[in-house]
Formats: sequence, structure tokens, C-alpha cells
Amino acid sequence: MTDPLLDGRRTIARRAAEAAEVPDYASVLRRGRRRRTRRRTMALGTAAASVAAVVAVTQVVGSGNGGAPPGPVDRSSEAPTATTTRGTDHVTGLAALVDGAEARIVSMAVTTGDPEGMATVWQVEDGRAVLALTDDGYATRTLLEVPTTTRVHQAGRGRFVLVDGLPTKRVRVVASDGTTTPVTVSPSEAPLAEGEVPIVTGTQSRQIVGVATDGTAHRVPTPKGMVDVRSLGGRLVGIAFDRTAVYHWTDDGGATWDARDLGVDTVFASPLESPPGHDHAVVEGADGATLFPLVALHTASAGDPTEWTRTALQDRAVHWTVDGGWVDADGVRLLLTGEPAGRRRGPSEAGVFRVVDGELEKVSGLGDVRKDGSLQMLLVEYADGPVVWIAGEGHEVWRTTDGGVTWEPFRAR
Amino acid sequence: MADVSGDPIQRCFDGCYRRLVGQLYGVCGDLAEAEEVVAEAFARAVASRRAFERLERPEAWLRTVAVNVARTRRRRAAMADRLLRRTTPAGPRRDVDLSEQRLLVVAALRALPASQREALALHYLADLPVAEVAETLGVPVGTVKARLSRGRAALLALLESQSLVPGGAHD
Repeated sequence: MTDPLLDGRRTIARRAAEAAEVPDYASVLRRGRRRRTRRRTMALGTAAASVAAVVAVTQVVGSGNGGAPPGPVDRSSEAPTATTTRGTDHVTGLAALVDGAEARIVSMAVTTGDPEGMATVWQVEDGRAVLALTDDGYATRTLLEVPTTTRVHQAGRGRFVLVDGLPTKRVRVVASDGTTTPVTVSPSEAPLAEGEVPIVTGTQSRQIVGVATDGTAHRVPTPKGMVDVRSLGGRLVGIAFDRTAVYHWTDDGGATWDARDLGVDTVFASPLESPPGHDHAVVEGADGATLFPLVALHTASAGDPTEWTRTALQDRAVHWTVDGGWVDADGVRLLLTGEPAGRRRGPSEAGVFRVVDGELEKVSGLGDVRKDGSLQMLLVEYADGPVVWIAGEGHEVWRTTDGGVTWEPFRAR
Repeated sequence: MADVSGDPIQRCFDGCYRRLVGQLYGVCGDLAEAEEVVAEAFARAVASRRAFERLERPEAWLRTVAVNVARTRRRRAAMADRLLRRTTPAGPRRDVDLSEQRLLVVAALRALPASQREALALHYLADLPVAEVAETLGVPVGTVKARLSRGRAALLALLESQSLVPGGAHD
């Protein structure tokens, strides 16, 4: 034994990581919520000494249940109307929450080719979220309280699919007037059919489910162990990790899957949305203490997806974080924020970039979208090409249809 | 289509849980304990979701919380032992499938003072830079260097004494 510590460097930790038993994420969520409830209960007890404090705390406790059943519908234009069973106060409360300065968008979907049909999920405080639906660009809207883990997907014919997330993993189809249809998943397995929406369920290993607008659904053949699944224009892609990252893709709705071992020993490999007929791309992050600092880009041409090229990022002076990315006819587009390496305060640069010979080339700076430099990609939809939506600073959302060169804002609540 | 794991904590959980357990294994000296403290760190992230989502380096935050949880559990166990006037038995530990030589290193780490064990485990086994170890442990860089220096000497002495057995339950 020359140096037992240097000799065992990384090996011991890596073996331990491999041997770790990963708990169900739902159990972690439950545990965290119990902790939060205990904390709030303690706060309530403290506040009992003061009438004024009791009122304030009761408002907080009354709002907090991430797994709460959906609340009443508020269909309104400027002011909500009290047409629900839970009373005017609750309806008014939903509008106040979604319109509040603290509201933060966490998910969105649009009717393909018609951005006036939109659904957005706003997380308004810890433990509360509101879905805002419209078919007229939010001249009028329907508000629906949903669990905080809810994500929304476009389903066609003016409908959207709600995945209530964890731990329930409940899936519903919702119309723009707020009426919902529960989704029943049949045990049969089949490729995605025309018009079906691919939804991902499962906590450890993902299962793709095809959902139709009438609420019927079925399992879609899914490679074992996929943990990062994306869909665009009929192509499904995902990453599975064994000892290395393996990229899976299908262009026929899951009837047949292809796979390619990228040969990188990191869990920070994330596929980018790419439609059929376009190149494939995966971003590789660092095995470090931050999430997804960009290290390299893996690409394969649509014509020969078995031949992959790894392009290492050469710019070591800037610490780049990947906020999202997609592939269009002109290649890969990355949504990045960067700061000088070693400096901690504030992003120095943000925007859409291309990777050219290992160098980043800025496509647009997004200064109009986010003056604070923080970026949040919300959606990549397919309408004769990738259409990308990101969150704006003033609660609007921005869309690009030209690879990130120009952006236009849309009302989102 | 956005993945259901649009939940940033779940994304972090999917990407970091195993690595954090690997890093905490040396700190705790027991795989089950490492799993427990990392799971608790994620539960605390869920309980403080809004604050967590604003973090610049969430994995570093989780690691620090996990180390603190490990310390708290260790102190509580020690206090319970004192109150109940009991000697903690060398109970079953979950070890990792390692060579005998590396299991001896883990056993030696368990025999060191907690401060030295934490520094050695995070720097040498988890491969974190000294500055990051200092940040995780909440102590100055110089303190970490001192603990590394003394800890290495103590660990080598333990290994040379050949008083350890793989999986040994020193505390």
C-alpha cells in the first residue's frame, strides 16, 4: 500500500454511489412535506399568542397542500366571478395568487400554431399552484388550483394534458373551460398513435404513456432505465445510465428504439429536443458540485446517427450553465448563462448560442427577455420546426421561431 | 414535452443522490447511514423548496446539510449512550463491496476524530477541492489543511498498527 488515501481516491466513493439504494422520490417528498407541516404547526403554536398573528398564520396553513385536490374553477376576464361551490373568497384568491408579483411560471403548453390557446402553471407560494387556461390569449381565462408538481402538455383540439406529478402521478385531460377528464391508462403496450401526447410517468425509471384527448391512454414501449425523456415532432429521445450514459431514440412512436453508448461516465448527460430528420444532440455537464456546467456537446447527424462526435467546450474562462437547448435545421442551439470562472456574483452573460469548432457563438443576447440574465426554458413545440418558449421577467412568455435570433412576447396569465 | 421531473429537486435527486451517498459514505463510515442523511437532506430541500430553488449550487447545499445531519445524529447517539450509560455495540454496518485494503481505509477513517474523518473523506475519497471541503464543513481552508495533515498521519499510523479489521466498528 503506497498511499492508501490516494490509492483509494474516487474508487471508494464511486463504489458506494453504485451500491446506494435509491429511495422512491415520492417518499422523500412525503418526508419533506411532513417536516414542513411540523414547522408550520410550530409556527401556528407560536402565533396563537396574538390574534393578529393567528389570522396571518391561518392564511398560510390554509393554502398549503401540494397534493390537494383541484379546487374550483374561476373563469373570468378582468375580475373573477363567484360561480363556484367554494365561494367568492377562494375564487378571488386564485386570481390574486396568479396575478401576484410572487407568482412564478413553472410549466406551459400552447395549442400548436395558435398561441392564443395556452395553459400555464404558476407556482404562487410554497405548496400552492394555479393553472391558467385560455383560448383567446388571456382576454378571458379559467383558473384552476392544482398540486404544485403539476405540469401541462398540449393535447390538440383545444385541450391539454395535466400530469399532477408526484406522488399521485394523476393524469387528466383539461379543456380551456376547465372541465377535466380523468385519464385511464390501459395495461396494453403500443407505439404512439397520431394525435396522442407522450407523457412520462414513473419516479426512478420512466415509463412513456400515450394519452388521447378523450382520456384514453396506453403504455408506450420504453427502454429500461431511461431517466430524461424528451419529445419533439414525433421523435422521442432519452438517456439511461448504467456505468456510462446511453442515448435512446425513436422516430416511430416507440415501435423501434435505437441506442448509442456515449461513453461518458457522468450522470450529467442530457438529451436535447430534436425533431425527426434533424441531428441528434446531447449536452454533457461536469461531474462537479453545480448542476449542468457545460463541458461538451455530443452530436450525430440525422443521416448516420451511429457516428457521434464529442465537441469539448474550449472556453475555460467562463463557467457556462445549460438552461436548455434544441436542434433545428441549422444545428444545435443552447440557452446558456455564464459567469467568469471563479467569480460568484451574478451571471455575466446569457443568451442563445451555437457551438462552432468548440467555441460558443452567440445567436442572441436575450436582453429584452431577461434583464437579470436568468433564463428559464419552458417549452419546445413543433410547428414546421422547433418553436421555443422561455419565461420573461414580467410574467410574460417569449417565443422564437427562427432558432433564437428574434423573440416576441405573449401574455401568459 | 417537458419531463415530469420538471421539479428541480427531483432533477437534482435523480442526478446527485448516488454521488452524494458516495461522498457521505466516508464521512459516516456506513452506507445505510450515508443513505439516510442524504435522504434527509433532500427532505429538507422539499421542506424549503423556494429557498432551495434559488440556490446557485444546490448540490453543494445538499452536501453541507447532509454532513450537518450526520453530525447531529452522531451527537444524539452519543448523548443517548451517555444518558442510558450504555456502550454502543459494534452493530451491523452496511459496507460497500470493496477490496480488503480499501475496507481497511474505511475502518481506519471510522476510528479517527469526526473532524479529521470528514475532511479526509471529502477531500481524498470524494475528490473535492480543499476550498470546497472548507465550504462544506463551514471552516477556514487553513483548518481543513491542518485536519488533512493530522488526519493523514493518524490514519497511516492506524493502518500500520494493523489493529483494524475490514468492516471494523471503531468509533
